[in-house]
Amino acid sequence: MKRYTDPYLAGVGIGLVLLAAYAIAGRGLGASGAFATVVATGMAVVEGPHTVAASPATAPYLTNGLASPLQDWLVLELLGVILGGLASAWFAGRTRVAIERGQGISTSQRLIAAVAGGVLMGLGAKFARGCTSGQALTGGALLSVGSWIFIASCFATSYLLSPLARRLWR
Amino acid sequence: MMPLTESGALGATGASIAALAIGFAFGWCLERAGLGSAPKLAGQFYLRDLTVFKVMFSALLTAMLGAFWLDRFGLLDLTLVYLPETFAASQAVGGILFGAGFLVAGLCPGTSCVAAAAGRLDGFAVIGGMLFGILLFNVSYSQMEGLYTATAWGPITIAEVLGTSHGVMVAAVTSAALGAFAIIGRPFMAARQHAAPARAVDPALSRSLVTVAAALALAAAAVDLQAVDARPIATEIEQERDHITAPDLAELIIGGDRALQVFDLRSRVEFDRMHIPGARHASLETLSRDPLPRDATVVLYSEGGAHAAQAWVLLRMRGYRRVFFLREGLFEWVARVMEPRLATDATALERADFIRAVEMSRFFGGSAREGVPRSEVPVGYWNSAAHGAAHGTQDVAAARGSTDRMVARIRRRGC
Repeated sequence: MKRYTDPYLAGVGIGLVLLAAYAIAGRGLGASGAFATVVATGMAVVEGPHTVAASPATAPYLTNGLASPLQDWLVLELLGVILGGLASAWFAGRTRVAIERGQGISTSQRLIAAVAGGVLMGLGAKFARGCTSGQALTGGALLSVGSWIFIASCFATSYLLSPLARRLWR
Repeated sequence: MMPLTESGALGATGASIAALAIGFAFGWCLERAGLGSAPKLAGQFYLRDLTVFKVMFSALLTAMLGAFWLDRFGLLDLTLVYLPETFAASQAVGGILFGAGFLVAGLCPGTSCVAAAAGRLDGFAVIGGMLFGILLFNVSYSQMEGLYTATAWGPITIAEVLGTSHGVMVAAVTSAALGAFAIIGRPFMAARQHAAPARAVDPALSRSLVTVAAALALAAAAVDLQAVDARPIATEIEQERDHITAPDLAELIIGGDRALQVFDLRSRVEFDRMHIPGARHASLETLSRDPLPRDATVVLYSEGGAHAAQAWVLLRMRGYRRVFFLREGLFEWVARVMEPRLATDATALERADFIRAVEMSRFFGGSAREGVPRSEVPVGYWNSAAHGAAHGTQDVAAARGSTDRMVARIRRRGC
């Protein structure tokens, strides 16, 4: 198993990737937006496209109508993230099926926490109109006011609540 | 000039390939840094492992400095890069929910994909939870809408809110981050950290990275504190890229261009009597002070054109790039959009332009007139290309005398 890359160097790498996204596509990176597109498309298939296209919560994520979500920029980008993550882990000898957890909890407790955390992040990313990629990095580097509000409130909450979650990550 | 997708240099297929490639590089870097592993990320919250902080802020600095300088060298138009809109309350609450979720899950949306791709089942669990959370929000949107749409401040930057320049803010953020990097590298902080060993970067490379960042940041502040470079503005005026014709403005309004902001520089009384639909009243003073969304398309007009042209220079000096004015002011709007006239001996070209104008006139509640004697149609009235050149000052002066009468007539019709 290879050692991890120096975090500052990896950060500069991500910064250059983000800069390339600005320069090529006129937008930044994203992750939760792609999931929002997947959910909106799924809802449109189940409920019919009209209600989904009428709601301001979902309409922006159906810009291609019901055309394949694979035509969506963010969805393709996230597909790239998955492939890039897989390739990097493969070449570093880090691919393995496992449930990573702190030592104080069982695997099933870890999975429950992961789902619960995911639900909270899904809700949070909707309210914030983006996540650590789409708001904190992309908007942060452009000095967007809302992005910095998100960065501040996200990390303040994590640190404030961290004593309560100590058992999860012992 | 970049962004490439805006200039049309990149087709749909090219954009798709770029999206995949950019994502691939992003995912690769995240995994290389170890951010596919939840316990490693969570170490951030107990100050055991500050990888998240280091990766995030060095990425932010790199992109911020790079974007600033690409823009300054004219390679990238930053006003065309999508700036996330600010909804202060919603984003604060979103941050609280997200921060709590991040702590419990140990992964964020992007890194959960990397974890899942490397075979971590907890990554899949996070993704599942996230999809459910988004669905939950969507189906209960009617209860969330109030908060979600409150405090809409538009696309706005910290520099605009603080009334400082972008370069100064870039320098401030860079120094704060470099300072934080220095602090977490001190022995008292480093002693707490038990990060899985990462290949330490060559100290010489690390020093040069810090030096480059500091130099770029200082220079950013310095160039923005200097007087604005007036040369590109002068070129724009010489090349007549400073104004917009009334029919073009009418089309922007009809098209519902969201970035459009029209400002009326006449007196309040005149504004209240009649103004271009959607226009807001403004003075040279408010325009020199109040922040505008930086991607706004601003159109200025006054009675004649002088004040609008002066306001144009003010806004261009403040760094807004898509600013235009109506060269002959409200008169031009009335004459060419509200009450277009066609001479009895009109050419085919004039007739074609008139047909377009009739529709606009109807849209805005004006009235078009056909069969007008040639002498009542100002020279260069229709041909927009020849408009600036052929339009003698005499015509303008003669025609402007009738603006008041025109306004009065339109008022009677209840515009």
